[in-house]
Amino acid sequence: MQSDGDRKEDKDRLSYMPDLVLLHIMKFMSMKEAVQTCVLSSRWKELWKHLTDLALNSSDFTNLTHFSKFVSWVISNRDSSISLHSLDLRRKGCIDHELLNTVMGYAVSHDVQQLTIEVNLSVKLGFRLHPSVFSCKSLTYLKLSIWAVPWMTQFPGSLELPALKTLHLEHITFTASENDSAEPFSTCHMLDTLVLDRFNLHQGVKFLCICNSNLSSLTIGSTIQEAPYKCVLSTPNLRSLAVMRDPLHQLSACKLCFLEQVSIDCEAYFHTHFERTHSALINLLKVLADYVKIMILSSSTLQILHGLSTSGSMITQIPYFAQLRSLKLKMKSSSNISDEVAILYKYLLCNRALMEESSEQPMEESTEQPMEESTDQIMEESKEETIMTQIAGTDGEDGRDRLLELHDSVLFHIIQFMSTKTAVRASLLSSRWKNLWKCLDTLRFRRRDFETISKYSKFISYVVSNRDTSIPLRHLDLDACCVTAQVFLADVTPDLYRMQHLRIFFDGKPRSSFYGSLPFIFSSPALKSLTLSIFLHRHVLILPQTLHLPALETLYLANVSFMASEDDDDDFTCAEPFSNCVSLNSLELVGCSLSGDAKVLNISNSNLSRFTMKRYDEKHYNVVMSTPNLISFSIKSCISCHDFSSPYDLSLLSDANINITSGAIHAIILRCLQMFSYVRRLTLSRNVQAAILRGVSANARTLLPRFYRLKTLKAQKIENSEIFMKYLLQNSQLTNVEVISF
Amino acid sequence: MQKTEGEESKAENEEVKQVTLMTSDGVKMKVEISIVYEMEIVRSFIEVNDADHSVPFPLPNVSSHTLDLIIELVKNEYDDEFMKTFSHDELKEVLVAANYLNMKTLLDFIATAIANLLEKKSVEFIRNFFNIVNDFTPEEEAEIRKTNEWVFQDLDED
Repeated sequence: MQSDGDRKEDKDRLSYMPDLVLLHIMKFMSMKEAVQTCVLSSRWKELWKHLTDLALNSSDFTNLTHFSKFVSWVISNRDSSISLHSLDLRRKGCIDHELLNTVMGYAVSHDVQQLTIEVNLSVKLGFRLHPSVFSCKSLTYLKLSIWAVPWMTQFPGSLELPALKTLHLEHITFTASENDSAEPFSTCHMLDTLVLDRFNLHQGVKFLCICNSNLSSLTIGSTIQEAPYKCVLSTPNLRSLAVMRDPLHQLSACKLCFLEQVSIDCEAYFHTHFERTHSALINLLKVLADYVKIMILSSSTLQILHGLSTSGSMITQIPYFAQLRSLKLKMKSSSNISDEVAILYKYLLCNRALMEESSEQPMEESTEQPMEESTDQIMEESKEETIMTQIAGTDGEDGRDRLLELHDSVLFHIIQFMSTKTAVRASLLSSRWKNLWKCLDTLRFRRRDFETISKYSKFISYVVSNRDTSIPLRHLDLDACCVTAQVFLADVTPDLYRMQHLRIFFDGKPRSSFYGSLPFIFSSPALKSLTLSIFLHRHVLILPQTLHLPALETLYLANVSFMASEDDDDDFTCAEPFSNCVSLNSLELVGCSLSGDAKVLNISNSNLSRFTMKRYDEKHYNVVMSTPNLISFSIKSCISCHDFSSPYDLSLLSDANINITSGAIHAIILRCLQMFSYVRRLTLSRNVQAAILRGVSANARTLLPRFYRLKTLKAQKIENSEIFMKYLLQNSQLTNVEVISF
Repeated sequence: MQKTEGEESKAENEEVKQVTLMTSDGVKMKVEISIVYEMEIVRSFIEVNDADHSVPFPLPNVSSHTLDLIIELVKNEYDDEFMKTFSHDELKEVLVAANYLNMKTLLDFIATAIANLLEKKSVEFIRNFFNIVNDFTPEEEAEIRKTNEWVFQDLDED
């Protein structure tokens, strides 16, 4: 009997599991398995059609024709009203290019964020890839490896991929954007990681310009290009560079102040290539020598360096590595370790030893005993062995001296977290620090740090006219309480395009220039967190109908007003400002009102997990929580809250808090409780408890929800907790609810 | 401390996977692998060589006391209250070690803490903290103080 009961309960729990959870499980299946679940039961029949991640891999099929049919069938049967998160198409053998176009077109038209295409193509002359993929606004990750015979895939002159963070291209022919140079990446303002391999330049193209102010990681493999070309790096933010197989010929670069790590693994396959590869490699090292901190060289790279040099010429050719801290050697096959290490020391550190006469001691030690030092750290492995040599940091010295050796980037890192006032003050520390603050990409201007508003204004002017304006601002925290601050905000409007964190506090009478910069804030593609706290005298700031902030994760708005959206009903009564903030995770609204005819605020966002709302004295309105992923919900108010409802069952909601200090209305509170069926922890203020109990006399039994998962009730100064709990749980079958009084 | 080999391997099978680190003062410490994974410099080696974690991994730039502090910080999920008990020297030791071990979250955490500590402090205090030698001539220093004097006002007592 006992086990029967248990089994029944298990069954129940499974069927309570919301579709979202089942879909989450299906994400980890291959698409073939996911589609197979349609035979499980009627509930499962349509479920796979709601998947947002499609992994289409021909290795799941024994027959390629079946795979192609399967792909077409999935595309035409999936619920096309739901947008795609990722699509991953991998196919052996040559794919039909119409099918490829269909798949890519489908992905783009469904706002795909991550797209991977690894296929082979047999193409006709003049074939071009579906062009929409190069102007897809939603893409954050794109990998194209399309091996096309007899022509390689042609790439457009420039890309319109504003949200793209990672781009991986193989077998691509670059075309010129103007004259004889290809510069395809300068328009991708969010690009962080770029991988290029086995590429080719279109006839007549002589320069490949990798120009991007955000790029931090770049990997370049070999080109199949025979004609000579020049590679130009204009990537001021580059942190890591990896060069594979073939050194970049005729490389030139802008200042790479942030470059940390360089990894080079070159090979020379034919003897005739040896000399060319050697001189390209020397040039590559010279370009990077001033910046690199950690360098990883493969043993084959070292052999190319070694092969053509007599030891005398080598010393003059190898540059001096000004900031090198660590050098790693990557061993291949069974080459002789001691030989390699000896070469490494002899050639690469020779210049360093010559130049640093004052600190000869540690260097000499390591040149004399390379084997002893390395044997401790050699990692035995069958094919690859790594040896690491630490250049800086000798043993036995105390922390103070090591602190002096800390690289500027660490000190820089610390001042990024300071108020700008403190950061500027650091210019007086020593000549090394004098100009460090000018390169900050973070500015924090706080009125409270200054005695008078005129000092505050003067300080802003000083910073604005002295900082290095070639460095884009990523983080701005501004009390816009004076004219100087407002003018500054208008001046940095172009930077808003790349800004990641923005906080503006405003209290007073704004100048017209202040409004000029506001529209840019609401369409900033890189913005991750936004805090707007705006108190205007006798006015209220009205926000645009829709906020276009695809990267926004945290949003705090105080005292702003929302207007109804036009594309809604004919009578324009519903404001729906957050539906395009696809990454929004946390939302807090304080004293926000509705303007014009708007009667309803629809918080429509499928990603939102935390919501907090405080009501001050704004007019009462309805709030609809169209937030299927909500985990935490909290309201604070002293004059009853707005009227909440949700079209979803909010099955992921685990914490809810209603804190109203006076004027809680019974009917509104009960409607609000209807959203909390799945809540685990519920917090209620005293006033809210009283409002709920007002229903005891009325015949309101059916209005209370059934709580499925309630574990803890936190209640303010609860007196008759038993009566209250009995009433609250009248429709629930729960016994073990813990009550905490606070 | 001293276990026979049999006991040790048995313990490893039952408990969480651990890596032995050897600090600059020669102390061997067993550390949970989840903590070690935050240390990028060690992680890269462990991943290359998926072999014997009982061979001590040398950390010539980190003392056992500093490593203890780091482990506690990570275990307590970067607890502000715990860090407030640190002396200035300890803060700096952890900063240097976090940079050396390439622990990104810890470096951000400790950088924020140091930034907060130095907020509203005089130039002399900050020089002393970082052990910075003032290489300005008195004239140069006076010049800089003059160009933005409002920055050097409203400070706390050291």
